[in-house]
Amino acid sequence: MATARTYPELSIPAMALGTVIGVTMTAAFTYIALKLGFGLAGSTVAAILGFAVLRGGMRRRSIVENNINQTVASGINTASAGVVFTLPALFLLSVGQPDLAPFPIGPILFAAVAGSVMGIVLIIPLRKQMVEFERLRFPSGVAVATLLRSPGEGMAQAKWLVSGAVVATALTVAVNLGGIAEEVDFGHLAGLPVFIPFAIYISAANFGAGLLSGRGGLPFALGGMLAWWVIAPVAVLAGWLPVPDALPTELATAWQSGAVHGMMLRPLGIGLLIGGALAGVIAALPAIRGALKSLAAAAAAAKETGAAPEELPPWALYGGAAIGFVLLVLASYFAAPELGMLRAFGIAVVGALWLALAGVIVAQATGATDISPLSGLSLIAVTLMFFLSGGNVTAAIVIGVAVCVAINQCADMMSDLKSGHLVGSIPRKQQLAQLMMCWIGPLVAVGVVYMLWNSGAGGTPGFGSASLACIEGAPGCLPAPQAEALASTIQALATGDAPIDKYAAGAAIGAAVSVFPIGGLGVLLGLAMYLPFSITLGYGIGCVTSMGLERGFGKAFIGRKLVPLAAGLIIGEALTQIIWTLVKLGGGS
Amino acid sequence: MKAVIAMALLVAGVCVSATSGSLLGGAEEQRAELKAQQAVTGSFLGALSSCDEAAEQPEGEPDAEAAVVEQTRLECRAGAIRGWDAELADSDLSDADLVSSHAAALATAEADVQRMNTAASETLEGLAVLAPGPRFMEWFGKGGIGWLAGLVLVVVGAVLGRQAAYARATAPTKGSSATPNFDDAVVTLLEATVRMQPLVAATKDGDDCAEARAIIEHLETAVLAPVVDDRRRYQARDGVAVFAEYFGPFSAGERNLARAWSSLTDGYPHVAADALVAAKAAFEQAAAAYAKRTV
Repeated sequence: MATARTYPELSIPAMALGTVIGVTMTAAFTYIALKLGFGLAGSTVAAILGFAVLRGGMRRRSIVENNINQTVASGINTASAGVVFTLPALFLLSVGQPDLAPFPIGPILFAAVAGSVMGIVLIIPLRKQMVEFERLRFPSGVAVATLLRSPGEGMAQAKWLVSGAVVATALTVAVNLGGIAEEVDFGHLAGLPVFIPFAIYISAANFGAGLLSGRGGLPFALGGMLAWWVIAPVAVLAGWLPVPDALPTELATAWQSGAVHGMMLRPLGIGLLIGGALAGVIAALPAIRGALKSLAAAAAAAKETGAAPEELPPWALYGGAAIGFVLLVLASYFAAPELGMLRAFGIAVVGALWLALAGVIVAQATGATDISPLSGLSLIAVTLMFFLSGGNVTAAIVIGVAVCVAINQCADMMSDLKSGHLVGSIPRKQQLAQLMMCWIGPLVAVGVVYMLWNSGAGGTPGFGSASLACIEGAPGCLPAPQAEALASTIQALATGDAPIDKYAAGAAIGAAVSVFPIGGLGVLLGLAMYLPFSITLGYGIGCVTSMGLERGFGKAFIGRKLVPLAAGLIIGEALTQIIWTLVKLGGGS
Repeated sequence: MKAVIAMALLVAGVCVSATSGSLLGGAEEQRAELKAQQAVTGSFLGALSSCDEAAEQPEGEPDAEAAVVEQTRLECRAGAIRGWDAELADSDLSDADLVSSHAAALATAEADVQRMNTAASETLEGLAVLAPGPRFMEWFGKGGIGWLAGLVLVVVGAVLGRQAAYARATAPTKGSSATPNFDDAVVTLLEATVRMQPLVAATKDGDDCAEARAIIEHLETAVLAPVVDDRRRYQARDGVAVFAEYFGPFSAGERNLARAWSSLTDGYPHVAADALVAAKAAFEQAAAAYAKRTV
């Protein structure tokens, strides 16, 4: 071994490829989110393209190098969902309030980049807690790791992976073609009233995430049952959601069913998420302190021995946080100079605190279930900023952009670190790669939103219900449904109608259940209340199936067969959905 | 038994507190009622208006098809009326009869619905919005007792649950194959790591070392996974701070074993050798921290 070759990891080809894939996905997925209202995750696409280019085209055999490529690509792309959920609301609101224009491009970019940097540096110290101590499953992270490891896993596991992907592809195509309903409503078939739902969301990825989570995900399913089979019927049958007598019973019941979710379960669930996450962080403080101490000790030891540390040193994290915070203060001040520097500073402080807490919530929720409560937490961010800024829409949305981008970065970084743990990457290299390139995604996503807004004929809006294309029902219509929802919420906020009582009641419950010795219980119950039951139920069936298989066939079966099968289900659906969406958009339908 | 009681208290407590927590305050209830009216009347008006839109005469179409368009509109409106009025939904009238015989009633109904909708909107706009404090107190007046009672049940259940977890964690484990012993597992890992080192050292650059990879795969499922699955027991017994001191290095060792596996797959045995050295050091550190805790 005299002339040992360097093992490619944090290499120029990996960074360059990750950047190209990331930029392309960001532009495409921003457009798709404006068109369809949902974002797409790109880790699996990046990993597969990494195989094709790095391993196939460039003959570079390195699992960990592909992990870096995928980390960079998803780190860039994750900004698209963060930006597209919040920023377009400012543009849409300017149709009715022309004084909101011209849009403050500088502060928006500062905020988005600040969010990107802060999301990463604030979540890195929790790697040990979430990935090593709590062992959160991060189903998508496990799926990507399974994909990355596939060159060495042998044919048996490859067959399980491919089988899962084939089943998921067939199912996704069948659902998209309408051959299979998106939801199978057993409750309707059994004649149950609409306020006792018993429908299953048909999604291979959702079921696969449940398979990967096993027993750990069970509280999530039980939380859904509590929400929809206890609280919802009690609320409706006890008449807690009164409807005028004049309304037809059937329509009134249907409305009550929706209102139970919108006015009771969802805000209560958000409260549980907040309380559960806060209590979880407090309970984990000794471990986090220990992790930070070990970061410092490792950095010192590495300095002494001359070896490279395994994690980014604390000074890099503090420095990153400081830079991000300064950018956030600048964004807050220049977005609304009339508020003054002191108020801008206050807004930035609260924004930073909220993005840290929300980042932990999203990382935990994604880690446990693969589902992110992004919209609810972003909504709270905008609400907080709206009140702190005295009703200044621009300042609220600009800081909302930072929070939304940051919490997405938290979840993505942690999921990538989970993949890295499973393939043996050095965390420092992953962290450095994502930190170095994280500013690119916000620039691309903001740029695409600006470009699309200005693409409207004769100075008319380029997207939203007021755009010419949408009024005329043309194929180029970009309805921007998420941003429309946020815009209407901001309008409602002007009346001060926020369910503070539910948030507070839920937070106390979330904190109390977190005392129970089951990790992340408050967050899981909160997420179950926040989501429609059909998703929770499909996931829960996956958990129970996994537990049954483990009981019947043992742990080895789970590790060697079920994990690749579940990974295949997640990867197959993600890829098929992306291809399907692109083909559909290409066809103009 | 204690664990079962704890779980029962948790479930009961969450049910009671969350159900009470979902109650609406008085003002919120009034708002909900108005929103219901607005939503349902709105959907009816929307349905009627979409019938008119759907049946608009397309430009350039021959007049001969006007009757078809009118028929479509008629069927659509009849469907909307049947959906709105439960009595009419069950009637045996045909769509045409329904619409023609109820034309006047429909116009009145439409006007009534429009009026209800406008009145609901105006009342909603006129409703005073409570500040967070009064809003919370108003809700607390209705659901506060149940909510607090539920929280007490949850906290009592949690305390019992923690006691049960601690008792389970400190119970003697000898003879139980289901509960792996941490130090035994670390010894196995150290021995396996030492056994793999010469195998890897003898591997040529660019070659795989299937035997070492097989050993790592076996360790992952037979030794590492059971310890990881049992982490809650260690946490309950030792507390999170002490647990972190030995489980952190243990996890670092696990990651370095994964690195050895990946680099062997890719044909970089010298990287695998370094990773095995790092894994061994990490497992030794974990063993030392675990022993310190025992002392």
